[in-house]
Amino acid sequence: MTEKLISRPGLITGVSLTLAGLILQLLIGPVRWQALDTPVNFILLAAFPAILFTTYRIFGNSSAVMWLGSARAASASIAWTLVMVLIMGLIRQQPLPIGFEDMPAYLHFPGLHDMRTNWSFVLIFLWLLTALGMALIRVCIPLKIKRIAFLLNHLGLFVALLAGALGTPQNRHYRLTLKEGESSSQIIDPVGQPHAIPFTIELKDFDVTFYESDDYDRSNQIPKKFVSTVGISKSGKRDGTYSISVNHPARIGHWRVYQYGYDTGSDPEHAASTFEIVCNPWHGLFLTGILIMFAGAIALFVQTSKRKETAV
Amino acid sequence: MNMDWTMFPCFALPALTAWILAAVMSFKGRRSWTFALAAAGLAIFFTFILCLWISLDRPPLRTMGETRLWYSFFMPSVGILVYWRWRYKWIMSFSALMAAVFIMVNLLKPEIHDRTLMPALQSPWFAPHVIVYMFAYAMFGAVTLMAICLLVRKRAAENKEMLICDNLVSTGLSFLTIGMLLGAIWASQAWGSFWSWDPKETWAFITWLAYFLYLHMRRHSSGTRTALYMLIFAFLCLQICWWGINWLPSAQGMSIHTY
Repeated sequence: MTEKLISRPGLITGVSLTLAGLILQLLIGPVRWQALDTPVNFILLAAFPAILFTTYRIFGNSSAVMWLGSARAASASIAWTLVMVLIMGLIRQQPLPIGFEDMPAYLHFPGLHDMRTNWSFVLIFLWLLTALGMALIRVCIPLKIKRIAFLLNHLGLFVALLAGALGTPQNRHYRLTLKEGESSSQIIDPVGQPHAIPFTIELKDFDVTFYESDDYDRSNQIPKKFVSTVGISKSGKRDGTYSISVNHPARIGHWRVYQYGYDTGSDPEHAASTFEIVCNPWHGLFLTGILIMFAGAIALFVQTSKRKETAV
Repeated sequence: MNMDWTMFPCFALPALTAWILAAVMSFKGRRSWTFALAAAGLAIFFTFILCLWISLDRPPLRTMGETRLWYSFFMPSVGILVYWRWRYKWIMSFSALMAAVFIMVNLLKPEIHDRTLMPALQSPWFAPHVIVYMFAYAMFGAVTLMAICLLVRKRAAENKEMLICDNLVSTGLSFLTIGMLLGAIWASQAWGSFWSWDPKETWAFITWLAYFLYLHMRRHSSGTRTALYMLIFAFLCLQICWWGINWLPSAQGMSIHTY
């Protein structure tokens, strides 16, 4: 029993990972999430839990592996993650514009302006994920019913974090602006490269309604609702007509089309509508993680309210 | 009915009086009186929220003043629930005090309230997301006051007092988690990603981690003072997430969570 926030092994692990991260950052520059693109991310999705499980099976009695799955290691890894995310919250996050990643690696050092591609952050995150996985294996095999809140909370977070990280390279966001009557089957990414999307989108109609105000100048009016009516066709065949507004995206396979904004410009009769077009094949897995955590939060609440009464 | 903020004192002050009387009754051990007075205060206060909701034609959840309104409502709600569940005599006075602070802020510093609701906020996820968060914040407000009391006084916190903190944090965390997940689902509906490390999201995550760190520390550490300091640290993070973000240099002009 100790009064300390972090025990010695926790301190050593955290310092080593942070230093290793700094060295990697200096030598090879920021983390390139794109390196995890398919099939690497799918392989890791299967391999990571398998490696944790095998390690636990073979070295489960070693003090290092026992420590990794312990509450002490959990505290230490949460505390170090907290430090990393605090840096993210206190230092303005400004990822470099696309095309600048090829600058000499040392110019990205120490890389605190973009923690998502910072090696120390990623290594600490990996430790958190490992501690989570080890704790799950240690506590939940074999599964006892009174451990259900623990299982759901930890498993949900494990799934969501894994899906979030591994889905990064395939999570694509594009913008597309169309005027009424225009159609397109390709989008231009921020570097100016055209990309084909697997459908053609045609803006049939665009409507904005404003909140009533005494002001007749439209630029000062606050929009209440803006709706795009779009026609979608796939390989020449009509797929359907969708009505897209904020909070009501259209779903076409793995793709989703969101109402992003609009521009009435000088000609309010022919406004341009901007869409955010998103493809994230990992959407479902992330959502699964979230739903498991949801159940976990309810289980935690029920478990707490069933605790013995301790009146003061 | 046309309800506006000029009517606020007519509801807030009677409600607050009822909650203070409920706190007095709980110390005197009069359980039925405590429940009756607390419930009466809640009913009066909620009438104002409901009428404001109707006359604004949207849920009153957008401005800081409106979220403080819910906070003042949830503090005594949490207080009476905890009193009912665990019979802590002191909890009603804690929550009446917190409610009083937030009512005073709204009386002394009313904000501009208008009817508009930007399209991103027109969502069925809006009300549950904010209400659940405010409920969690109320729980954490209560546990922070308790932590300060335990730290200020000379003798060490007893085991049963620490268990109260654990219970309040666990309950608060289950609500905080639900609030965050509702937010993630809503974000995927409105913006196309569950999580985008917007400054508000980053600080929400920091707050969430800090409270989970407290719970994990309590599993292996006998040190109560470190744990109690952790509760104060976590509550400071929560304040940055809630309103401090508007003044934080690293977040200026970066957040899409500004309304």
